[in-house]
Amino acid sequence: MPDLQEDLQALADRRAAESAGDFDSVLTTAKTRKRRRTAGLTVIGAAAVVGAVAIVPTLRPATNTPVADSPVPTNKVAPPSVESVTSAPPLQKAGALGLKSLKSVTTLAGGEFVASFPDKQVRAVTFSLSSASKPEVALYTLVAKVPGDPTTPYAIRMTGEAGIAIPSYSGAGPYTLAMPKGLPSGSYRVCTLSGSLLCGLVTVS
Amino acid sequence: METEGLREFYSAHQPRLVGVISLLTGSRAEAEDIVQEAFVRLVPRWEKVSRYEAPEAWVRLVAVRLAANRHRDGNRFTQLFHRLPAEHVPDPADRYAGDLEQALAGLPMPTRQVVVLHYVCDLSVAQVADTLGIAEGTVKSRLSRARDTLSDSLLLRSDDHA
Repeated sequence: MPDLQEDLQALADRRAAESAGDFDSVLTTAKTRKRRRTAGLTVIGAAAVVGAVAIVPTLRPATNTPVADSPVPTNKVAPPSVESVTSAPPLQKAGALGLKSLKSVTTLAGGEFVASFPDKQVRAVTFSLSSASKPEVALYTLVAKVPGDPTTPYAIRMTGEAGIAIPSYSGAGPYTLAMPKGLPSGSYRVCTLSGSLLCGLVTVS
Repeated sequence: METEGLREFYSAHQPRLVGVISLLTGSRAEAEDIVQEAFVRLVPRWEKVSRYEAPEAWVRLVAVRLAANRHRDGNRFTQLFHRLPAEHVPDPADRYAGDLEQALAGLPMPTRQVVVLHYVCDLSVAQVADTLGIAEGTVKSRLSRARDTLSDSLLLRSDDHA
């Protein structure tokens, strides 16, 4: 349909001839937006710093005294691991909701194991422990070993009580974790509590 | 940033792009706004886009999408088109252009996009499909429907010329 093509192009040419562009206003608008974006990021960054400063003191434990009901004495290093993962285990896709699973590891109740993540993301040193058959119910919060803090690693039983003091440390791992003493044999799920949800299976024998 | 290169690119392509987009919007003023916005978005990306084989295709795609978004977001197009006679009174000798423009405005936006990209920007059916992310068959069927609708305008001109 050459006529239609010619006519449409002629129409476009006519509108083009009538148009008046302003390159300087394009540059000005683009620069203004860039400045606004930078200013916005600065404000967000400042808010994050203020938030972090406000949160850190509330999470840091006041003393090294043992936490009530903790199956692992918090002022005592747990016994050496029976079996541990020392290298970064590969992530495997598993299940819905983007849940990823670490390679499983076997240990004893009260034993230590090491969890590491290939993504090397900085995350809080706290992890949740739940039964593999009932993953939605957190049984313990596991606090990984923190360099210079001999009270770590330890586990805190999730009793539903508020006011549990958890270190606010974070790191890229690997994380040395202690299984609670007296934990019945079986499969358990250990999941990150910060950043993307990553879980691993731990078998207590 | 290489401002001079961008300025030259703007001078070379802005008018034509306004012409193309005005066929989508039915309003040159609206088209100028959209094209201006497309170039504003180009500025921070110019270093990268300028290395493309056809940087003008990038700006055109942004402008086409902006036009579609504005159309979808409200009845802006309708309002503008109703305003069109006031700001652009067609010359009686230019009656056909007005008829064609009216007929084009009567097409759904997706069909208008296909028509403009194919007939005005000289993109092949495959290129239009690729640009808009639709199947080639869809492009063909939209072109066919558009030709049927627009043929009335062409017949009007034939009558005038007779």
